[in-house]
Amino acid sequence: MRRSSQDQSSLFLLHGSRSSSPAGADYVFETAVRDDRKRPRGALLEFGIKQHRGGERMADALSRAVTGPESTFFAEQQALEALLSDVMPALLSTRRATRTLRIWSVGCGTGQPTYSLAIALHERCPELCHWNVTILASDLNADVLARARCGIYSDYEVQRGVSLKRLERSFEQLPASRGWRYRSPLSENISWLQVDPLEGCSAAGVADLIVCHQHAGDLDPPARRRRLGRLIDQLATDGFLILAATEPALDRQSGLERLPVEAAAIYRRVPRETSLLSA
Amino acid sequence: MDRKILLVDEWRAVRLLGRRVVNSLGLQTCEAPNARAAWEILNAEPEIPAVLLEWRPEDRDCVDLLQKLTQSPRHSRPAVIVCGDTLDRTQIAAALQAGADEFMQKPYSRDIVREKLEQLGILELAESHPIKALPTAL
Repeated sequence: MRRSSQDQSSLFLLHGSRSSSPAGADYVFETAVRDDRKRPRGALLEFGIKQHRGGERMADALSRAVTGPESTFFAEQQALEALLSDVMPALLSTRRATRTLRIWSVGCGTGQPTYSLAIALHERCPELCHWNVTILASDLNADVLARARCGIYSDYEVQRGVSLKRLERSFEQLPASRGWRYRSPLSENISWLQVDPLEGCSAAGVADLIVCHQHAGDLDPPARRRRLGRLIDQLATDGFLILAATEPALDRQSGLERLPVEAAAIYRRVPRETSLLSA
Repeated sequence: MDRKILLVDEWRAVRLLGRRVVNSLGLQTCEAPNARAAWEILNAEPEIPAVLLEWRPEDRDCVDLLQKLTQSPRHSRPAVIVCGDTLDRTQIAAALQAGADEFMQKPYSRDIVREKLEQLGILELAESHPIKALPTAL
């Protein structure tokens, strides 16, 4: 079910009317909304509106569940593993001369996928600490992006996917139960940008690696193609594009070919000669 | 043989909740009210892959059990997930120090238990989970 403008406006109202009152009693409810994220978006929305007396905290969780792509850390573990083992060695070798790596994390939501990426890169590619690494994290929703930039997560949120060791190493606990703030690694290399991939994304600049966490399941096919085109425009000639696992496969017309990796949808540009022959 | 998770908690109600969560993930459980009983069970059933241990840093037996269990390398012993009332930096540091593999705040949800068991390699990683029915709590 596609998101209509009406749905969006009711969401906006819910979101706009929430106050910041963390209440322990909403624990179960919040869990329920997030656990149910794999439901079709339309169904989730309907369920949320029916239950909207459940409290303002719920409105917050609901709006995050609908607009934000992923609210758990290391959610796409298999895709991340494929990125580290199949893509990073290639990028590290082609960029060794300049020691510069530009990553674009598209649809970063409240920041979990971007911080997970930073942690994983730091753990698995230690040489990157001598490199000039920039991570651009973008989302189309300004509220969500503001949360991502703060990098502050509740006890519940940090338990979703963050291992005990990573929690100790990468997060600092704020006083008075205000949650946990992402501290390192690479936090100073991350910049944040509000951009809609359906509009122009030239502000994002060229990237060697584009990781799209957001699935475009609720866009119609032309819009999906347009969005993809915008992303590809920003991809370096020998760069890699990683799409969400739920994304439909791309055809050759896109100018991209899929890497023979099952665990993740990893694409790179078709070399010029090949694309002319096949045309 | 069905794999069993050992639940250690002083309170029967907490163990019952844990049992329901773990069973719903397709695993069996056995239970112990304290660290001593847990140690006996683990000696009798060394193939248990994971222990959900109520974290009581003031209880010498509990800390001892954690240390004894986690002395040997990870592949030759059960994984230990400590379950505490609050998630706080000092508690986490103490649990890590004593050898804990993971930490969960009580009450834990099914998803958190599933994620922790997946991370520890006890449950197989499931990238996309089938659509679930609405939780009964609602």
